[in-house]
Amino acid sequence: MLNDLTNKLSLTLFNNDTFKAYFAPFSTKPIAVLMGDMHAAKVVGIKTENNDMYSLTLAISGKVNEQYFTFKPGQYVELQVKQNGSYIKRPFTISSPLSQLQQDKTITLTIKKQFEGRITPWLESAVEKGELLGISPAKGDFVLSACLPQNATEQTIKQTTKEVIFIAGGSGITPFHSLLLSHVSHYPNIKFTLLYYARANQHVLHENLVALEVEQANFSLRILQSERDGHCSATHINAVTTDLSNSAVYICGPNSMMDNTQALFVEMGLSQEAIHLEQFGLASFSNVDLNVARKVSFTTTNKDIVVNEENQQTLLTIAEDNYVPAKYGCRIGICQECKCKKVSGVVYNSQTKTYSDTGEEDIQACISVPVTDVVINL
Amino acid sequence: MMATLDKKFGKKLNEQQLEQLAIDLDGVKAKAMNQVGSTDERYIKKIVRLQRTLEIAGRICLVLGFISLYFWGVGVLLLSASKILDNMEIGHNVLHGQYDWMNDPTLNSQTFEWDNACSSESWKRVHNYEHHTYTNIIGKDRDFGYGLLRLSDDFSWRLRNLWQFGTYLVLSTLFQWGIAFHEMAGERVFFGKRKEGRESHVDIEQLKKVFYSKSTRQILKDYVIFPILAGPFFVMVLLGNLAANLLRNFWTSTIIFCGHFPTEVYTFTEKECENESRGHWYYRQILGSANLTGAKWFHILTGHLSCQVEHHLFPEVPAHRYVEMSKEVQVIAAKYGIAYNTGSFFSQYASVVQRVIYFSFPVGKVSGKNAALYPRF
Repeated sequence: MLNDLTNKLSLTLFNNDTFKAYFAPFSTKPIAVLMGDMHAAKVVGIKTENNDMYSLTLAISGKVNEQYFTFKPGQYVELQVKQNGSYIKRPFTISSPLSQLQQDKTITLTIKKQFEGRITPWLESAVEKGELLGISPAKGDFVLSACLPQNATEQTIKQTTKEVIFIAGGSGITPFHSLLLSHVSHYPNIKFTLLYYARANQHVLHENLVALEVEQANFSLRILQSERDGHCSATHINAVTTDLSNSAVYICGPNSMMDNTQALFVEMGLSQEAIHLEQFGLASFSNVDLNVARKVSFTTTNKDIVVNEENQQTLLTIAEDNYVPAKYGCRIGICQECKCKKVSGVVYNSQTKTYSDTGEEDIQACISVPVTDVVINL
Repeated sequence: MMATLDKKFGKKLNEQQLEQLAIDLDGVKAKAMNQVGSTDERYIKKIVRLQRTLEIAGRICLVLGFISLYFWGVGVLLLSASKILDNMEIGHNVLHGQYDWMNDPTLNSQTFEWDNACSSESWKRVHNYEHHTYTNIIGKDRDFGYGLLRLSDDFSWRLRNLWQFGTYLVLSTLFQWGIAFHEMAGERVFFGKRKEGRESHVDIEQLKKVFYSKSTRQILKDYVIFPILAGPFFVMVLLGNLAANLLRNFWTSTIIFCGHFPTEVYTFTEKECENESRGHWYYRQILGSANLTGAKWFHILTGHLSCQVEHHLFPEVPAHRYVEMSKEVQVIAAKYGIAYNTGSFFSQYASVVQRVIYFSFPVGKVSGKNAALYPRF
């Protein structure tokens, strides 16, 4: 109520929705933090894990609790960074355990460099210790309770003697690192198994997992080398599980690996509900197949539209052809009336002849052609 | 296209030349856009900080007017400078989407609101869409004369044109209200009959609602709330705000007239611009606008609309880059023999006055040496 009143006053006096917005240009804080969408987090550690992965440790400024900031192991946060004058958000998995947040109010994000990407190859050397970044509340449902009975409480989870199998491929290890270090000692009745596939000497974050295996009887770790051991197979699974029908399976890794592994488990008789997948990171543009049909999703209508590859239509035309209400003006890219938010996906700007970034950004619907599946907020 | 123009201004460009012109100008734009980044972010943030500082200082000085009237005078100047920056270098340019790439919600064309009676939504429709798409096409760009003034021989003379210089002065005085009313006048919201078949993007009730809510807020702010906050100095602050608004109105109106209506600015017919190519659109933008020369502070206070030609060519390029870009644009214009209209503030303003007065008399089609002054494409 009071908040509404001050915002109304701010709008009347300064044409800004909040007083904070009016004074924002004087502040050095990340803009999303000022606007109240995100929390401030200070960079306290930058560590190279291997050639293509690094970890950022961030200290949360402010309280750590349910109301302010906390997370469930397996979740991710969106990080807002400023690159060349523009604020960019990207989702990254939290790799640290919950105890780390409780002890020193920090979380660690372990990030894989998408070499074609705009942010991940740049971020490691661009951020400095002490720098303030914005982080969103934790998001995502790749969490332990996901495959356990609905509304599972701490107590019921402890009583269930389920077997949980984690399958990680390459950089897909990050959520499992957090899940295992947080949960193994809390749920002695659950048997945790991790199959970790990566190329030889590319297994990051594994020291802690090795130590955990030594410490905890209910956890077994299998480090597998893709060159030597191949992909995940029935033999690998049968070697670690006694009762697959009573297991929950979590898979995180490259798309093809997740598809194959999921199919394998279904073949072995596991139900879909027991299998949980995590799409981590964003598809890098170099992996995009330009010759497939693309799905355009408009958040305003919850309508998914499939366009085939020969149809190089603009988003505005696609919306209009499908009776999705869209603002428009000049239709030639000048007036910005059709400007809208691309939530995800890549579009081609037919005027500047350039491809967009993969993340959230403003685009002009009248000159943008979808190149991948895109989500558009008109 | 057989028509030829006065020799001094060269001949009309053919399709091939227009295609090459588009390539050349796209090149200028691409070069600028490649450089856009933290320099532009720092620049616009600096201007916004300056605007906020001027506004706060100005409002304090107005209250201090009870100590000495000098404070009051300085307060008016600071506050009007702040309003000018807010409307021109910040508002106008942000609303063109020049800083959308920053993903800063406080400087985004979709959310920005300015210190002006015209709501930014309405402004974007009329200015960004109608005016920038159909620049100087008589019948489509209602900015040419604002439906009040006869500024070319495309319109037939009426009795009221006789005193249109007075009308122009009144428009200048009330400029922000003229702008706020512009879209509603076009849609015939309060009077007149709607044109048959005119396609409208907005419903009239919505237009009224936005107009009333924005103008109420603006009136409350400058003529009720800030004066009340000053307590016993109510009248002084009210008059100070009024003076600052008037100064801002005169300045913005004058700069905008100088960018669009000096002599030698071209007008076009709808027919000439049907299905026009990108090159032709560029061509029309150069012929249809005019620049002002001046110092750096002058460019900033005009919101770089002193580089109206570049603004019309590249409305989404951060405006503080126009001065640099204009050098390249002038070279390209010269290469194709395209008239590039530029001059000092005083000479351009004198020619604006000349145009307003010339067409206030019942002269018919311009011919002879006047044809070069008021060229039709």
